[in-house]
Amino acid sequence: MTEKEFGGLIQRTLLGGVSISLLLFLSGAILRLGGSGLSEACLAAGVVALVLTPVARVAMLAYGFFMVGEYWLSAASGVVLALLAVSAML
Amino acid sequence: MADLGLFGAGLLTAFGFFVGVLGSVMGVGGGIFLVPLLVLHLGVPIHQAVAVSLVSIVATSSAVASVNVERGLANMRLGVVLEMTTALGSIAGALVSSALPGGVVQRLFALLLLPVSAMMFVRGARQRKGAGRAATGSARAPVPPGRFGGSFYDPSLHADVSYAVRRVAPASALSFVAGSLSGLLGLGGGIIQVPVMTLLCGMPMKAAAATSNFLMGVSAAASALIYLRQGLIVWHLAAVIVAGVLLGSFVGIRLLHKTESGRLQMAFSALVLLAALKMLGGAR
Repeated sequence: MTEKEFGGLIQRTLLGGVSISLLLFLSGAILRLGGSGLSEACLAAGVVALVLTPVARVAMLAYGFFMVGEYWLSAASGVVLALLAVSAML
Repeated sequence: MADLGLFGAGLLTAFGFFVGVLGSVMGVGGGIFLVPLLVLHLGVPIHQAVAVSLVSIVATSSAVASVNVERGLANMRLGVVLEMTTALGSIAGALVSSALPGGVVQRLFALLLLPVSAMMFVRGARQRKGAGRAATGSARAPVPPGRFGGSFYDPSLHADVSYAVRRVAPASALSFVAGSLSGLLGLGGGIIQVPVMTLLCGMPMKAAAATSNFLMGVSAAASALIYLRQGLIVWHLAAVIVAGVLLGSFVGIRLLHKTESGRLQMAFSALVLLAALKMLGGAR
């Protein structure tokens, strides 16, 4: 994996999370206007998708650093990922 | 949106848009504007306002970082090292905040806004001076990047800027403090991270702001996950604001090269000071 490919992976992960979240917000707003009870669930899913975006980004960092041979930075990303997992369980 | 109405939701989305533009232009998360608005004007309890602010910081960070990583501005290697202590601080801050009464959190927030306002003014003045120097074409001489160093193309200098990073260990310790503020008060922590990276680590301003923005998403997410578990995130409120923040962040990134952020920061330091005084007066 080249440095450029690594940057592209992180960029796609962040943009993917943000786009999914925006789509869910938009769907929630449309459902709300249509009077559907599903709108709140859609908005909640959008917020959760957004909050999980940095988690996915850290997972991709761990993978990317491993692939470029920077193992200790991959391990550091693993530590951040573990801290995020702990915060989700508190 | 049941409590807000269509007009109210539209207004909040527009405010989120404004926060998103400011956040990406000024390199801050936007919590300093969002929390006072929610508490003072909408009567949202401070803990819920902090939770919504954290979600909006995740939005600004994710949107802005996606572009800054591509431009080579965000230093991912330094970012992940600082994220370890920032995330730890953020978890500690969120746990402490949950245990404190709302009035205490509101007073703490207001008291922190006072130095933040002063720092924004000074930073804005410095950036304006820096912009003047950049206009005369003073580029940094190339330096060996070392383990954490990096390089990026600076369009204002029409040159590649390379830099080394010093004193990573003390910067990590200070990142813990920035993370704690994030979890405690719903701020991004950029107001601490950026000076640490520029003054302590010796990074150029643009790389420091981009790296701070990159890592504030993780610190905000660490706290937001705790607030999420505690049921403090009001979904529809977060959704309408964050939708605006996301759109505003993308517009702000496009404006970034055209706007003089120094002048903006000086102007908004007055607004932050006003918010601090109002929040101090309104704390119960």
